[in-house]
Amino acid sequence: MTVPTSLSVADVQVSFGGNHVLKGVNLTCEHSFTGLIGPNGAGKTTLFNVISGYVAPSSGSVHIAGRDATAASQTAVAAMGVGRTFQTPKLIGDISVLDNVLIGINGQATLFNQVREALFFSRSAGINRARARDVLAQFSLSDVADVEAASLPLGSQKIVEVCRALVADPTLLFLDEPAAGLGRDDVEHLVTPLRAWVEKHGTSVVIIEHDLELVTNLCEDVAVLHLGTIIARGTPTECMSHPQVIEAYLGVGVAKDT
Amino acid sequence: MVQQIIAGLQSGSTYAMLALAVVLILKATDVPNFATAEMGLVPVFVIWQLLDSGWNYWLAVPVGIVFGVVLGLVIERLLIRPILAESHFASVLMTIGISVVLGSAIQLRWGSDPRRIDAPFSGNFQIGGNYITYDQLMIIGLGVAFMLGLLFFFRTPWGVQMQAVAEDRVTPRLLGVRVGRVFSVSWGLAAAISTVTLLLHTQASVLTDAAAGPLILKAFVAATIGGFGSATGAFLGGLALGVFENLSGFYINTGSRAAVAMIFVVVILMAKPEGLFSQARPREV
Amino acid sequence: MAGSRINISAGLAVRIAFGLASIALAFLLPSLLNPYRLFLATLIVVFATAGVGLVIIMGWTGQIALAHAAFMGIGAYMTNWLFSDVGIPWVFSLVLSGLFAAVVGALIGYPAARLRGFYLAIATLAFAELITRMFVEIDTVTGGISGASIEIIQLFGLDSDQSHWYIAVILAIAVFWGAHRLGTTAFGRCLRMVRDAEIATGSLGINATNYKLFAFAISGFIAALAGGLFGQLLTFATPDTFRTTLLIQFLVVVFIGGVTQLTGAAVGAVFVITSRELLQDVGDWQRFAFGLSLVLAVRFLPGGITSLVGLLKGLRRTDAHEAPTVARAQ
Repeated sequence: MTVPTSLSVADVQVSFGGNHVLKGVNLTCEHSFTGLIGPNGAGKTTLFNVISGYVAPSSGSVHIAGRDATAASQTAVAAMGVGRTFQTPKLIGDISVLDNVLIGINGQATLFNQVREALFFSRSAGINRARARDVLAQFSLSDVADVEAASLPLGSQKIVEVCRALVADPTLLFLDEPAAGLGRDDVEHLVTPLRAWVEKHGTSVVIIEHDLELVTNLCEDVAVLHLGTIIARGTPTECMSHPQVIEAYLGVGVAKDT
Repeated sequence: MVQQIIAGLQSGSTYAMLALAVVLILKATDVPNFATAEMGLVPVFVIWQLLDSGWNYWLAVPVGIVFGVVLGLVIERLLIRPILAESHFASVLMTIGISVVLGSAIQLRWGSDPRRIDAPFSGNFQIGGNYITYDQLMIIGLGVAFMLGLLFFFRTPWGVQMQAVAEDRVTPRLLGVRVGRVFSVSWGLAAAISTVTLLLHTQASVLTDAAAGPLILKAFVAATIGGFGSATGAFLGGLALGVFENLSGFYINTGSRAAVAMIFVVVILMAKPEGLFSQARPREV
Repeated sequence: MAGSRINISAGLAVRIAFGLASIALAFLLPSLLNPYRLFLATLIVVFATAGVGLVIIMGWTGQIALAHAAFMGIGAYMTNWLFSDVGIPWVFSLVLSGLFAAVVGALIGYPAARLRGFYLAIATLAFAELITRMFVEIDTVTGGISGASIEIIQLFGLDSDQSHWYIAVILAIAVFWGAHRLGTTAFGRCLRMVRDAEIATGSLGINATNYKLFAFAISGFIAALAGGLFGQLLTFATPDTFRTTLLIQFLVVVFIGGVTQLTGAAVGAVFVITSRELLQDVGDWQRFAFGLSLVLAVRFLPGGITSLVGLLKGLRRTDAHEAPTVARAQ
C-alpha cells in the first residue's frame, strides 16, 4: 500500500564533537512500512534522533507531512503526529501497564488542562482509559493491563511502549529495534496487530531493525545506512543482494563470492 | 581596596579549597558530601588536643592530617560504599547524618568554648602600602598549590581513572580499574584537603565546634558558581565569592553581602546554568 | 498478577482507613488532649503537610530540592508581615505568601532544571542559604537576626491552640487531597516520566522543563502554607529556625515513607515529632543520637523505614530500586 510522502529527509548532516555521524542522508517515506537497516554504528538511531527533534542537524532539512521540522523541538515534532519507541523501553516501572500507555494520550494535553482535570475532574479520563485498554487488547496485553510495568519481561515491555506510541494515533511512527530481545512468538504478537493498525489508520512506520527476516516480511521499502550515508534503496530483496550492502555487513572480500 | 581584596582572597581561598574537596568526591563517587567541612574539623580538634598536651606544631599537624585521612577512608568504606547503589536521596541523607554525628561528637567531647590554635608563623609584611599576614599568604598560597596539584592529578593515570569511574561505574571495572581504590583515594584526598583548610581557617580565627557549618554552604555555593564538573571552576568560584563578599561588605554595607552574593549566583546560573567554567554536561543523554 | 491486585487493594484500604480515622480525630482531639499535646499534634499535621511538597518535587519529579525549610520561612515571615503590618486577613496573607513562594520556587527551578542529580541538590541548598541570609538582611520585614514576633490568630469562639489545630487539619486535608488528585492523574504520570525517563518525554509531547518548574512552584507553595502555620505555632520566628536543622527533619519525614508515598509524609511526621520529644530526655546527646540513628537507618534501610514494613509483609517489592531500574536502563 502506498501512502503520500509523510517524511522527507534531505541531505542531513550531523556531527558530535569531531565525529561526523551523518554525512548527507536523503530519505523519503512513501510506504506503510519502511525499513532502515545497516551495521551497528551506521547512525540509524541518530537519524531518528534528528527527525524527532532530539538532535539538531548541522545542515540539511527534515519535512514531516510537508511541514518543515528541521529545527523543531521534540514536543513540536510530537505535535506534528510523530511517535517513537526506544532501543530499551522507557517505561515507568512502578505504575501499571495501562497507566504507562495512558501517558501516550496524556502527553498531548497541556499542563494546565492536566491540572484542571486533576482538581476539577473530567469525563475524558474514562474515555482515555478505554482507548488505552483497546490498544492493549489489540496487542493481546489485556490481561497484564493492571500489572506493574516493571514485572513484565523485556519483550512485553517493548510492546507496551509501542502501544503507548500508537494510542496517540500518530501519522508517523519510528520503531527503534522493536524485535531486539523478542522471541519468535513475541515478534508475531507485535507484527500482526501492527499490520492491522497500519491498515486501519494509515500510519507510516519506519523501522530500524537487525532482524532481516522481519524486515523482509514487513517492509515494502528498505534503506540501508552505512557509515552515515544511504548506500542502497529499494525492496528488501534488492537491498540485500546489493554488493555494497553485503560488503558493509560481512566485510570486504565476501561480496566477490556472492 | 587592595586590602579588602586580599582579605577576600583569604576567605575565598577557604571556600575554594573546601569546594575542591566537594567537587573531588562528587566527581569520583557521585556523592555530594555534606560532611566535608566536619570531616576536616574533627582532625583539627585532634590537633588542638595534641598541641594542648605539649606536642610540637610541626609534629601535631601531620598526625592530624593522617587522622583526617583515616577518618575519611573509614567513612567511605563503611558508610558510603555500601549505599552507592541506592537512590541519590539516600546518599544525601547519609552525608547529612554524618555531618550531624561529627558535629555533635565534637561538641560533646570538647564543648562549645572557643579555642585558639597558634601557628608558629605570625606577623605580617608590607607590599606597597598593603599588609599581608603570613596566615593570609599561607591560605592563598596553599589554595593555589592544591588547585594546581589537583589539576595535575587529574592528568595522571589515577586521576583519569577517577574521572572514568565518575562517568560510569561498570565499564572501568571491566577494564581493570580498581574502582574501590579510586573511591578510597578520592575520599582520603578530599579529607586531607578539608583538614588543612579547616586548620588554616581556624588558626586565622577561632576554633569552635560551629566553625564547619557556615563553610560547607559557602563551598557548595562556590561549586555551584563554578560549575560542578570543574575543579578549577569551583576554586575560582570560591575566590570570586570571597572577594565579592568582602568588597560589597566594605563598599556598600555588611548587610548587602548576602544580597550581592545571591544576585551574583542567580545571574550566573540564569546565564549559564552549568556554571561558569564547567565542561558543560548539564544533563546526560 | 493476583499478588499485585492484592497489593493495590491493601494500599487503598490503608489510605481510606487513615482518612476516616483522621476526620474523626480532627473534631475530637482538642477536647481529648492537654494544650501541649495538642500543640504536638498540630505540629505533626503541619510537618506532614510540608512533607507533601517534598514528595511531589523529590518523590514524583525526581528532583532533589533542598530549599524546603527556606520556603517555610518565606511562609512564616511573609504571612505574619502581611497580616500584622499590612493588615490583610490572615488566610489571604497565607495564600499570598504561598503564591510568592511559588514564584520563588519557579525562579529557583529555572536554572536548577538544567542541572542533574546532586548538582541540583547543592544548587538548591545554596539558594536556600541565600534566602535565609535575606531573612537576616531585610530586617524591616523580618526583624533581622533577633527575629519577629508572630501575631497569633484566633478563630471565632476558640482559643488559639484549638484554632491552630483546626486550621492545620483543614489545610492538610486540602493539600493531601490536591496532591493525591495530581499524583494519580495525567499530571502525576507525566511527572514520573520526567523522573524516570526524561529522555522520552519530548517524544510524548511532555515538556520536561515546564513540569519541573511547576513541581518546584507547587512544593514551594505548599511549604509556605505550612510555614505560615508553623510560625503561629512557634510564636516567634528567627532566620536560624529555617536552616539546615529544619531541613534535615523534613528529609527524614519523607525518607521514612520512601519519598514517593503521600502516606509516607504522614507517617514520617509522626515519627520525627515523637522522636524529637523522646530525645529531649537525652539532653546533650540528643543531636548525636539523632544523627547516629539517621546514619544507621540509611545504612541498613536505604529504602526508608516503611520498606521494612513491606519486607515483613512480603507484599511490597523488597528492592525499592527494582521498579525504576527497568525504566532507567539506557
